Amino acid sequence: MAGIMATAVSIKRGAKVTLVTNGPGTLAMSGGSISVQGMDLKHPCLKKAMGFFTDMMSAAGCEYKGELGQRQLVPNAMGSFQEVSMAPASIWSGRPVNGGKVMVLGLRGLSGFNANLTAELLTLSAGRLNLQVEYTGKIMDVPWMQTPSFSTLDVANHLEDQQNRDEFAVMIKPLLEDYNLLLMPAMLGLQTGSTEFVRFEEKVGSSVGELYTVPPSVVGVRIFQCLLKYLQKSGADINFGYPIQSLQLQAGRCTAAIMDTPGRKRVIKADNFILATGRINQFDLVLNYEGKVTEWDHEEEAAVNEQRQLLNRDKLSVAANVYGAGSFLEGFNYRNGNAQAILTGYQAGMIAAGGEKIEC
Amino acid sequence: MLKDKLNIDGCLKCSYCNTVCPVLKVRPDYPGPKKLGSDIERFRREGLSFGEDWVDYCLGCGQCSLVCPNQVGVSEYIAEAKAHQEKNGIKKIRDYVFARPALLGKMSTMTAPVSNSVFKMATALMPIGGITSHRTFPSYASKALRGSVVSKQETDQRKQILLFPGCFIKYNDPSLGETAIKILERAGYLVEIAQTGCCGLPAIADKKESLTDAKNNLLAMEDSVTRGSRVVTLCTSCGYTLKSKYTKLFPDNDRLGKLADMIASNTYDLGELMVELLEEGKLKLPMNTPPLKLAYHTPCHLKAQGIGRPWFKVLKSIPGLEVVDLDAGCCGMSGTYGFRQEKYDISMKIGENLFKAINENIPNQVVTECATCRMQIEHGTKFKALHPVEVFAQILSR
Repeated sequence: MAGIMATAVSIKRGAKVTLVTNGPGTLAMSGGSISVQGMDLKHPCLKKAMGFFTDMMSAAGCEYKGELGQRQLVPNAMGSFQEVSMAPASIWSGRPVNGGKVMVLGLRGLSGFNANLTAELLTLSAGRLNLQVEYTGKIMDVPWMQTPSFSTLDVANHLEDQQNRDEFAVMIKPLLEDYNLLLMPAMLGLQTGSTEFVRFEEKVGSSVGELYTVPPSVVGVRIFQCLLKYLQKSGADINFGYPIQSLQLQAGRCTAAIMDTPGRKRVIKADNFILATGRINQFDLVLNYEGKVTEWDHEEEAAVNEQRQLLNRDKLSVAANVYGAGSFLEGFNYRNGNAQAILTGYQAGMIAAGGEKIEC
Repeated sequence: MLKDKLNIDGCLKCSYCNTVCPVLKVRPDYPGPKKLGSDIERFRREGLSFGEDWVDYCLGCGQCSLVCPNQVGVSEYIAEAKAHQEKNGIKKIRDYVFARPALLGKMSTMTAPVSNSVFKMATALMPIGGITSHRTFPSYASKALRGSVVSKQETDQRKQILLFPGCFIKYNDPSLGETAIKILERAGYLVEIAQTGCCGLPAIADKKESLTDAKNNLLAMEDSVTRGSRVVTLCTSCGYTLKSKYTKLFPDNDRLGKLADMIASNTYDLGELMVELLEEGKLKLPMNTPPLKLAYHTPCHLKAQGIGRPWFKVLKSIPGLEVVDLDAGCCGMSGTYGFRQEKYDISMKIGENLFKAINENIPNQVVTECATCRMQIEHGTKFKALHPVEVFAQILSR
């Protein structure tokens, strides 16, 4: 998320950007919701960063709902609630509302999800939070899944097609007469944007909320793909699948990043570099100081200074034009990982593309 | 840690590989790369066999390995399982022939055009051999591809390219090779045709054959590459194989291992070379191009090379051209996969997104680097598909 954010901000500031990415990071496992628990809400850049993020998601066609100051609960497939400030629109729609009657829909054969159990656990969880919400489980047979057992990804692949989604909505609609919210595991396609989601709600005739499930997170992958398409359209040169192997450093500056591509290493030259490698992958980065090689220890937390310049173990900047962003930086807190990624990606992008200290 | 040091334990179980698998998108009963690759590989290593019937359905597109956050070689594990698969009867014979396109190519070009007529007439009988009757084999050419013809003096003065023709250009479409040679000569290169056979990728499930292909090709290219020639391919699958497969094949043979590394590091997709020339200001782009709408499809094995989309970049740089990025996923053809009777429907189902995107865009021309992607596009739509260099040459000649 930090790398994507830094790319979008840099492009917005007029820079030509090459993005080297090795996948969706935590988005493959989570759902992209944003919590600001434990963060300083008075941080001068936070509001601007979140504003930029919301606008970007809206322009990309995968809208987020919520606001920085809000604290809302969204349900998940495990039958509990998670506190968030912002979330993808389909997740946000699942918030419990007092007096609500909610149908939790499952499909017969869907692995890793039991609608009755989720409904029962959500009712218990809601009770503990003094929420008056009635959750009822319902399991439906679907003719289009021919295998005895299937995953949310299998359903998402089928529901990628608008006609299939429309037919699914027609099947669900009669079941919803006594309910004001439909909750179901996230499975409405991997490329379903905000417009398509609203269409589905209209066809169903009720609000629809999606639940985070076990990996792969359909919502997270949807967001990642949506953002990659958006960045590509915005002019980013996206290089997928091969990590950066080393940074070439000379006279206090980084001159090139070397990609670990097959056959011949690919050299990417730039004026500024942003490292936003996250915590998921296990690749070590080599810092090549004019032939003297140092391995970057991925298990050690990295730090940046006020200028977002990446620091080495001696707390000196690695190079004047190498900036850091995202969860590999010190102070990582899993409760607010996405918010930190957005904030630090925003800052790094602003400085790298602007070349000066930012005043938020 | 670099990717070649990573192992199966790098699999995080995030299942992201499953989200990009073209087969899983259309066949929910297919176990998917996570199960067939890293999950079941653990059992295979203990000598236990699971899911062997399914491994044959893997397209070999390599997208699962490409998107893995830790670059676990998911597709390599599946390929390894394919190599241990027991086959018999008609499938065994069919797959033996399909693993040897050069053998079929040599025989068919020698007897062309008779062989072409025979293939056409035999289309209806193909299912007996486990081959779909919905497709026809591409025509085989009777002429051979020749390199640059120049004086000794010129040979010494100009930079040399060793063109790895691959089976399709060599046996089916030498005119595409000729077009590429003209463009390369125009850029100041001398082109020599590599006396190589099949790259070996079609024989991935036939280890002995793929090793023989690789060894013969390496030795056939050794002299030119040692003299400083760059190897250029027009086929993304051949390029992918030369760059990423050969280097792992000879761990116990120092000479071949070093040669494989040298060839891998000197291999360029033609588009890659064109971008380099463009960036160095050595490639003059055509001006005043008539308004043309091109629809560009990215082959899976181009993505797997990690070089971006060089031809897309070149074509986008030509004033007057509108180049649409189809971005509609895999075409579903995957070499001979789409010719196999039991896989034809899957192949076409996978291609539906791409066909739809092309039909919606109504381009003047579809372009893509991969020969079998072009065959699938022409089979699934009413549009003709060309290699980008052909369009580039056409524009230059106007």
